[in-house]
Amino acid sequence: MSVRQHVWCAVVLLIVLIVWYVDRAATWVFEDLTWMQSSAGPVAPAVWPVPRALMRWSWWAQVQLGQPYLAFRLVNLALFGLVLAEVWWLVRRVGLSAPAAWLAVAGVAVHPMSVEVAAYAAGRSELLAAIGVLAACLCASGGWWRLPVGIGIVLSLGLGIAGKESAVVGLGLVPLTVWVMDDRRRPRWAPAWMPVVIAASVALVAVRAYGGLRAVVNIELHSLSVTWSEWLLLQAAATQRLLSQVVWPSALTPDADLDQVGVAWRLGGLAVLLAAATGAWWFRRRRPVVAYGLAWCLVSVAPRFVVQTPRSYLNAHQFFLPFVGLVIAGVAWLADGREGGDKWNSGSAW
Amino acid sequence: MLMFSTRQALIVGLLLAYAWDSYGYVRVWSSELRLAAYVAAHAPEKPRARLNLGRALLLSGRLDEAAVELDLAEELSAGAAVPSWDREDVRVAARQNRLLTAALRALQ
Repeated sequence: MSVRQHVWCAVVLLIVLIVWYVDRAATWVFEDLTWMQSSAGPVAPAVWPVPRALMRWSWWAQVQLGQPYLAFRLVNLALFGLVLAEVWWLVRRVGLSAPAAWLAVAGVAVHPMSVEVAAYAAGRSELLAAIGVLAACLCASGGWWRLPVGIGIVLSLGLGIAGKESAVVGLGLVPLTVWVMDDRRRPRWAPAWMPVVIAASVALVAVRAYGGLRAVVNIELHSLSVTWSEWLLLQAAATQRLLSQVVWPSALTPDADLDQVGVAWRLGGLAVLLAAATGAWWFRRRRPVVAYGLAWCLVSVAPRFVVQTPRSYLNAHQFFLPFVGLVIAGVAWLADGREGGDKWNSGSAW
Repeated sequence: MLMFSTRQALIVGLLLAYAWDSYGYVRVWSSELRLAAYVAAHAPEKPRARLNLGRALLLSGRLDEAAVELDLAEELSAGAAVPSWDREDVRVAARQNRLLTAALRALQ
């Protein structure tokens, strides 16, 4: 693609996003007002150990400036643009062509699955988390063993987690990226499994510091009683619903009635997830980028099956990062054998 | 002249369909009432969806409609499929909002 074609793609996308999202009549919804109230004080929020500190800072700054709702949405839109740039870059890093990268960006940009994070002002935390995780994975896609790159990974993940704690999925996605791309230039002291061990150790220490696995599982409300199997099946049904909405988003809603879904459908959801995991393994050599995208989706959605938040089953804004993985898989599938190129080492750990 | 293969035409068509759908969905997220009505329409049996619609109607001053939705939310909260973690919360919130609705009606 020529520079002029890249510019045209960017301009068309920008126009679409502005026309879609810049709505002067729009106003606050759902938890926006809660965030407004918590950001109204004259004192800047603490950075540590306050959860979502970056999100709180950005809201606090805009509230102090007296900005209207539209300004909040424009900031979301700018962050969404940053996510799209990172998706473009990641798709290129995994070896797909420039048109494929633009197709991925267009898919993420115009799909209704992204609306909840871009149009919902409080969805900003999810955008900040995605920016951090994608930046960490971009760092991990080349020379991860070098100190500056390692620092870049840590800082990016820290930025993401300061946006929203859901960015901890980066502890799974960074090793996945390192593992599947397995840079041939790495020295002998830096095997591809090393980031897996480091990430697992960090996760274990974090869980222990938080108060143990039981505290993490019951992160939302300790008084609610939900069994492990009950939660697994509910979330499987929620995931299956969102997967179907990725293909045909005719009934996307932030609060679907999953309680009415029968046991057969919940088991079906679990079967779909197992099929996706099998597909990721099956395609790991024949279509490595497809496998990477599927694995990305599964890894980034996995913590939702462990952490129980009974009042909110998996919904579109929580599915944003898994959705990016699905788009990468889909675009790689459409690239029809031209995927990967020499980026993918035939003798890789994958 | 632009020439598209069948595959390219399908991809462009799918993107246009997604774009059209998301244009409408962005508008749903433009006000509390519109969003609550949309959610309730997609989950008519869900007590929390009805409760949120009742609250949104209450905040916009449509008290009669709010009372209907809040009654429905409480009624639905007793349903067999409603999990324990939703039942009590919705019931209590629906009653509180209904009291507020009644008080506002009395002031009118």
